[in-house]
Amino acid sequence: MTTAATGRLDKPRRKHRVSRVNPYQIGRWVLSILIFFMAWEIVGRSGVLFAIKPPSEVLPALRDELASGEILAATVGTLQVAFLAFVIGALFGIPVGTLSGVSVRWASVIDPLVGAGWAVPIVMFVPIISIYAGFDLLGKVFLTLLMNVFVIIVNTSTGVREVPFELKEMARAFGISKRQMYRKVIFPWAGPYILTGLRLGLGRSVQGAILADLFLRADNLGLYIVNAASSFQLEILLAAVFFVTLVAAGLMLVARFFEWWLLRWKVG
Amino acid sequence: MANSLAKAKEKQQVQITKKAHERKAPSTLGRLLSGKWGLRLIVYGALLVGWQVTAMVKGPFFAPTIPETLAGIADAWANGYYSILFDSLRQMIVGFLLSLVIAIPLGALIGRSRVMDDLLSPYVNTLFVTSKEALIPLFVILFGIGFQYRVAVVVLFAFFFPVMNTAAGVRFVDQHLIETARAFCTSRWRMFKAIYLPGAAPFIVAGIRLGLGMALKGFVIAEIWVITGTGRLLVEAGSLRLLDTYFAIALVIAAIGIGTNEGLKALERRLRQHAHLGNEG
Repeated sequence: MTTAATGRLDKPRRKHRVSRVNPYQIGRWVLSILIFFMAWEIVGRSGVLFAIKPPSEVLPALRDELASGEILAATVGTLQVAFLAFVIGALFGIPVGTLSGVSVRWASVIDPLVGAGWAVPIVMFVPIISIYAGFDLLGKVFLTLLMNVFVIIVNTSTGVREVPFELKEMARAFGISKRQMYRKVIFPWAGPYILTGLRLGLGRSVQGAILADLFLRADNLGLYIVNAASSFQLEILLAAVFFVTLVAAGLMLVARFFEWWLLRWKVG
Repeated sequence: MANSLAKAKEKQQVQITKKAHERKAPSTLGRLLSGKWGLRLIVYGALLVGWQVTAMVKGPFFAPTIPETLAGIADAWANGYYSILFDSLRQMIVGFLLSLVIAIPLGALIGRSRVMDDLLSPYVNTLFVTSKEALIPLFVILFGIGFQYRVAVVVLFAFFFPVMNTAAGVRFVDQHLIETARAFCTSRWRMFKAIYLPGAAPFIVAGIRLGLGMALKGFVIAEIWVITGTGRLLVEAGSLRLLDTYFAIALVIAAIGIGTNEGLKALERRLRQHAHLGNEG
């Protein structure tokens, strides 16, 4: 990905693959997973940290919860909020990022705001989001939007700014129209950056939606986790955390594959 | 090509003259508004005016006016809210330093050794992109709601950027430089001091900067979740609709976040120049 993202084509490159893995690497990954589960089991059985149940109890709990369908329904509910906010974030963030990338003057307006949005803890706004947008869907989507939009804007504007001056000049020399400039030059060039921004934004959307389900009205996964914690069903709590992590990681993997698939034309 | 270069130069020239002109004669309004500060003035001004008008129309129960917010910043001082904030920040700094103590050596290890990279990176990458927030209820059970809990949450949040950045920085160090130094039998300590540290320093500082931002987020999340310290101030000010207090504290936290971020960015730039000179000279 990074090779495509830098857009440097001066060196001949190997055919682009998702990743080149060697058998040693796969062996180490397997080893790493084994070590992780063994360490978890040992810590869980030893009772040093009473709240950590061993995987031999957590995984059956997860299986039962999956069978009952409750955790899946909760996950789907949270992901709906995440996707809704993600789509809004993309529809808002890409144009704003493009504006900031194309115009120096607008960049001087937009960049400080985006920088501030990065540096400020978003959760801090929970008390007023609940006043202005309520505890429910609107407030949740707004909180999630604040989580994802800045990374999309930053990546888009960086990508648009990186379009080489010579390329635009050349296109202009051939009498390209403004619309075609965007369609044929700017967006294809900035594409990898924008897609990376969207992928990171998707991850942050999922984070934001879980945050919203925990901190605004407890619902879906948030409610599920809070219930498990407050009733001290620790194996279910751990199962939920484990499941959430797996789902989010899986989603990111799919997004990464999708990104590669869209950009496969770029490096031949 | 030559034409484009000439044009670029001309453009630059125009910009330079424009800037010089701005400094000389800011009295001409039109010229001022065409610069970057002009647009800033319009947009930020509109935002502030929008805030002020909304607050005046809807009343203090909906939003405080700008003067009320500024007065709130002073009142927060009188009410001793900053000592609460200071206390929270002290705990955050403990957690942040702890996370650095773990993260930077770990990152260096991942950057130096392929085996460690393969063993550890999957977890770092997975936890980095997935939801750390879901772990907070578990942390409450594990650590209670006191000092330990807050430090633990800050470590959880602040940990990942320094690891990834240190690893990237160590990987980035020029291989020729390392080989040359080895050929001259440079001692380990000197290798570390003269090659790895300057080469990786800008990355590490970037990691520290991003990690500090995350630490700030971690402490706010931790405190709002169990409603203690500064988090309690924010939540109570929100639910009692003491919005001038809320906005005042929120502005101070935002200023801390933005200020530390910009300060470390400046340090990073300086180190990057330094690293660059070191590589060339």
